[in-house]
Amino acid sequence: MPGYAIEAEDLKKTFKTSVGRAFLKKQAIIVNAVDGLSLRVGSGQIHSLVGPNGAGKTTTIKILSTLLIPDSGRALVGGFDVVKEPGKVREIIGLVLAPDKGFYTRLTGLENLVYYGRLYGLSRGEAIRRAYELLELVGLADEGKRLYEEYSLGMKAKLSIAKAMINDPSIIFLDEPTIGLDPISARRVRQIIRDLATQGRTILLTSHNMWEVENLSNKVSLIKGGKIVVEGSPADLKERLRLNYRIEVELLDSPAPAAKFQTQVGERGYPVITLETSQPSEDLVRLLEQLRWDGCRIGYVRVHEPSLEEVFEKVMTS
Amino acid sequence: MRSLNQLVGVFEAEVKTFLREAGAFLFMLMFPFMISFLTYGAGQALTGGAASPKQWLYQLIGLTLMMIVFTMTSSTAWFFRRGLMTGRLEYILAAPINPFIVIAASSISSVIFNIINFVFIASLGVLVVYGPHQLPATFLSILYLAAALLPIIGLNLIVGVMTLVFREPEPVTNAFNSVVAAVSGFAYPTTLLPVFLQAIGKILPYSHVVESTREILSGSIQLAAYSPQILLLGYLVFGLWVYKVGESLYVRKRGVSW
Repeated sequence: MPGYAIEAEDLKKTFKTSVGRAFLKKQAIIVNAVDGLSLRVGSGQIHSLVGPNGAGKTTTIKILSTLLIPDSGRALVGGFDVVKEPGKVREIIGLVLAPDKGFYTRLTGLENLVYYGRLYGLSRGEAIRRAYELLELVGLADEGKRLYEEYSLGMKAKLSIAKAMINDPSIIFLDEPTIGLDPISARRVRQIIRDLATQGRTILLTSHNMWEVENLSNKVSLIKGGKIVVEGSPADLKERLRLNYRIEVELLDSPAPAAKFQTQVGERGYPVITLETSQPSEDLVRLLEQLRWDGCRIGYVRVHEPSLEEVFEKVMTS
Repeated sequence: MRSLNQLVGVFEAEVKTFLREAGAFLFMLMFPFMISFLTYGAGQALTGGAASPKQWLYQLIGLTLMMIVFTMTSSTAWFFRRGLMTGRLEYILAAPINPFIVIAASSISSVIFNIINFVFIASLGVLVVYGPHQLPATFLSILYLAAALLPIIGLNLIVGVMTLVFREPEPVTNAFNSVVAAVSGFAYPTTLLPVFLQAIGKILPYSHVVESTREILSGSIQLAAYSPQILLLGYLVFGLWVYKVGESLYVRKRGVSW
């Protein structure tokens, strides 16, 4: 699959579960966690999977990381089939499933990384060297000898990313890596993710933080009911869904324009013209020319770009 | 070499963790003494002082081995449960390692701690009852145990798979250990049991381990008599097979997230 680090075709995965409280009255139900999902992730890209809870994001990541076998469909990771060649896939991937899980609480951060290094077959010396390198990379160099149980959530998240890097993977799966983190820790984690992508690694990310997704991702796939409903770069998605920009122009002194434009009183007490448009450049120029012609003095001009959150809302509610 | 690195790495992590949770180790050390002294004291009281120190040793060794067996079963079940809860199991399953290496390393660390425990208790018991000339038998019994506990690792793998299915280790290990405790002759000769329970005891490896260890420690070694116990290694093969089937039919299909 040249050009694609990850390629999935018509993946399906169902889980059997039961409802009902009484043992004998339980009713079996089938949940279609992933329902015909197809996905292509370019090499060296940060690709985000976004969707509501239960949409199938984590199940998809678990299939791609060989933890779960799909009921049908095919997925290649780094050119290797996740069902037929799981061992080869495991060699080239890194995985974070939850930022605060996966470690021995009674071991230090360093010892935990060494443990994972040994799991990937490194010798003791190599594992220790690599662990120190990664602690430095994620900003935990001074905390490596503290017990994991003493770590804050932010430190645990950084250690999770270090763990995912222990085998120097070319493809990294990050399932909500900043969930529950304070803004400073989250920013640090995002910077680490950017750095990893700069090194040419492919990253498949899930997150509920739309701002984060918009700022990190080259491409976003919106997933709903176990399948991808729309995908593209954040800018593409906004354009394709024809989400409107909002233009605000504050008028300090307005001889006559109130009759032509709808205004409302702004935060500073002056009238503000608000205009929703899908062609912000053209409409803004036209508006400013008109105001100049009318002899208006302008306080400020603001252009609000539609956010990915609005894209998400539009897709999920449609 | 790679597998060895993996085995040693997991072993080190398990040992370090165990050393930092030493309370359980102390309990395992004290429990056989506590119960065997209790039964010995009761025996003395009931028989007017006629209870034999050899009966105390009989109980001490039986109870020590019972603790070893229970601890091995419990630590395997809890290995899986902790793996589920902490997410460690998912990372193991997503790493290029045969999960058996991880389980084997965890079991070996548990066996080594238990054998250290056994050395202390058995040496003390043998010293008191038979005198120092019999102490070399303790070391012979360690060699025997190192091999004899392998079938138990196999059975524990089955307990591990059941823990993954039922998600809770206690019901699984308690049910399993209850049967084992009843039919294995830890505290009384299995010949006192009804025939069908004796049969179950004979099929399982535990009663053979207990009886043979007692014999070795008392100096009546019959190596030829122990050779059929090689067949018990079938449990190791069976346990591995159950684990592989459980992994492909359950673990990789249902997942192991908590």
